[in-house]
Amino acid sequence: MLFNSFEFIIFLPIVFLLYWFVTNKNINRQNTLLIMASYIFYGWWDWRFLSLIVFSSLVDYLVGVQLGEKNKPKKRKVLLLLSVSVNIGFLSFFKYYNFFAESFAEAFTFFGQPISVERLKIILPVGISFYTFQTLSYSIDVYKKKIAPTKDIISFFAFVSFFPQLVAGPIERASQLLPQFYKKRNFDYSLATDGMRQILWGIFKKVVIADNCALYVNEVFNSYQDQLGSTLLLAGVLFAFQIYGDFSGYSDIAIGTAKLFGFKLMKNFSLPYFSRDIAEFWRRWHISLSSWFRDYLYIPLGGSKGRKIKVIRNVFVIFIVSGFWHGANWTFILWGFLNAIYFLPLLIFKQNRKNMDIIGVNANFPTLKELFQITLTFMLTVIAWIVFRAQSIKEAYSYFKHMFWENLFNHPGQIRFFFNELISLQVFYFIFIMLVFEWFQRGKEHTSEVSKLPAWVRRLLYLLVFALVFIFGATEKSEFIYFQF
Amino acid sequence: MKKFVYKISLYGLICFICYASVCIIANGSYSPIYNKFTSPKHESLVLGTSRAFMGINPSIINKKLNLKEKRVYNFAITEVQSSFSRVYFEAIKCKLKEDTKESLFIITVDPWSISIDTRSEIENEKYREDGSSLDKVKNINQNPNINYLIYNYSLSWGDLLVKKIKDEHPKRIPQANGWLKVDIQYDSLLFTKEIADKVVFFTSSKSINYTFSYVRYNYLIKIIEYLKERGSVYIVRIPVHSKIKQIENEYMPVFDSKMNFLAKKYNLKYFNEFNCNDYHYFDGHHLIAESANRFTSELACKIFEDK
Repeated sequence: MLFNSFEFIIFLPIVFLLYWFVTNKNINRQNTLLIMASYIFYGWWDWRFLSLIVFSSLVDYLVGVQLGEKNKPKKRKVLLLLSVSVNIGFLSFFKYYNFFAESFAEAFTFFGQPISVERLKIILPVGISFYTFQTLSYSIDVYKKKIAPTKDIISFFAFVSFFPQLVAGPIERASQLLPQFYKKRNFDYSLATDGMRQILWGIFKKVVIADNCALYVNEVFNSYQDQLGSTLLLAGVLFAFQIYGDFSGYSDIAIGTAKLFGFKLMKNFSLPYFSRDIAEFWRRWHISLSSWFRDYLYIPLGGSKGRKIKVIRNVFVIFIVSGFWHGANWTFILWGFLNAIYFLPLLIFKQNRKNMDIIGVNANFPTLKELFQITLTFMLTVIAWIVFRAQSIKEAYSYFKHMFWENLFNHPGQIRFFFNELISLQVFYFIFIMLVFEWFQRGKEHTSEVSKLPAWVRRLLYLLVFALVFIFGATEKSEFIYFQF
Repeated sequence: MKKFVYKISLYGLICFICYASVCIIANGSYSPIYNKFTSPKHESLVLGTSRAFMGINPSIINKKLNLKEKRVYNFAITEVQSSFSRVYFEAIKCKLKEDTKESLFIITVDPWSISIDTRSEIENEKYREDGSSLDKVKNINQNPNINYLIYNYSLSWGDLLVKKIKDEHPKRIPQANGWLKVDIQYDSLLFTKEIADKVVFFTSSKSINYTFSYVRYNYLIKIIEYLKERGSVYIVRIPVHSKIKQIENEYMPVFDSKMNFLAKKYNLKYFNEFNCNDYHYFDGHHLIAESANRFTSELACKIFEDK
């Protein structure tokens, strides 16, 4: 079920009331309830995929237990390999089988030896890219003896299946989230109200920003050959906000929901569009994924140690694999490659760790230089997002060709959808509101952290945000973009 | 905890009141196709895409043919939702009364409603109506249609409320008989520009990317066969601007012969001899209200003469 759905509105209060009023006296009951609720939440999409998550959880639990008992390096390695094989195996089959089969066939055809391969009708289980990485991080950390394995099977299953972050992250580390399942949670009023604020803000970003952008973006991308260059550029910009509103909105809802149950999840977005360079952007965008790849791929490859050429290789590997993680399409690989190209000059000239602090830390407004840096970084990401959004490399190329050759500097065309209704660009007002709010809240833990404001101001803000959601929230029933990963 | 539950319940109640009020006032005025999902079952139908949705006023047919009990309802929607397909066929069955007999069915056709867009559709695999509201909402005779409002209404609910309060005069007014009245005065300058834009669109995009669909054609046949058992069926090609007609004829030169073949096979009448210059189209292929009334009147006369 989606967070912005009728079923979730019914589901959440029921689970909340049961959790705090029925099972609150016993930690095992609390965790068991969470497992059941999470499986209902996940099974709502397709009950058949429950078997995958249960199996994956069982394998990693048993691997963890065995790693705690075995000391011989060879046996430990075999156990780790088992966990990696199961998790990556599931991911590879469900997500990448058809991609590899078709690419293989195309390569043979290219060399004059056409072959045909069986294309399987495989349904991608929702959230598989997220929970497999989460459980894998547990196995790896136990193998490296960074954390002790757990023998509490209920806590472990609850950790893997925890519904707020199960299908689209944040990808939590066992060292951060698992211990929270060992302790009984007591209701914390300030944490719960903070969670509700974050949920409200997440809904705003999803239905007001992302879904309104989607109306325009989808129409343009579906008919890009007929559009002006300026329209195509505008759609690219709106897609950048669509994916941000969608994904960070989801993360906010996930983190806020977790707070309702007494859990703290990691921050997943930290105002990425205020970044002054690409390196900073990648420290602020999908933090849970980029830190996962840093810790489990980049550092084992050598990280930034060693010869420059090796470091550059590691950077390219990370970005390309990260792109590939997003989906079985060459566009995602190209998107990753493009980001690596952006990163390269910063790496070569050792500028990649320049902007580590919050922008404009002692000022109300960014300087002209910072504004220029933000705009440049943003436009670079827009170019990459267009590749990300395209259905194929050919479409991406064609899109850029139309964008740069067809009246790029003319006023963008009006886009209409059914019944000739004009798609309004009032979404730019909402984007402006969001950016202003995020700017002035940039020093806080999260944007909707307004607990220090007077009560009447807070209530006014809640009503304002709700009014915007109610009046302007496009309910196109588009799923969160990251569900397809 | 109690304080939290109390506050959340209060906020929740405010939200519920807002959304419930929308359910009450939603009547299709500000959501053109909502009425298709709330109207009761009927015995006689007009079928097709948006050309029929805006082009045929059932009240004129009902009056001309003196249909008191088996009044015609316009169940045409859009090219996305109601091109000939499994989805539309199922919806038609749902919209018809169970014991329908000796009724009247007007099936409007055009080359696009039996074609697929090769950019986004794959024959036998993926169609534009898949996942549409007509596909997802199974009960299309319920008023209010909560399923539609919650799961399928595209735009903002608050938008419905705001428009109601502002009481703007919308240019497209859904009628109770299913017709979408396009209440625009004839404006030569504006229409010429719109038509020119549409010609470019049809030439550079539609006629290049669309292709004939055997599946859609077969569903048209299934619909004809299904409705033939329940009454008189007429196939109609609604007139469009001459430039659009020319593009359509170049895109599918055999279209009229295919329709004539069906008419002959099933012993029906195929009406396509309308003078497209007699009518006004605000965008080249959708009739404005005054022209829709005149066209419907001409069509009703032809049906009357045939009967």
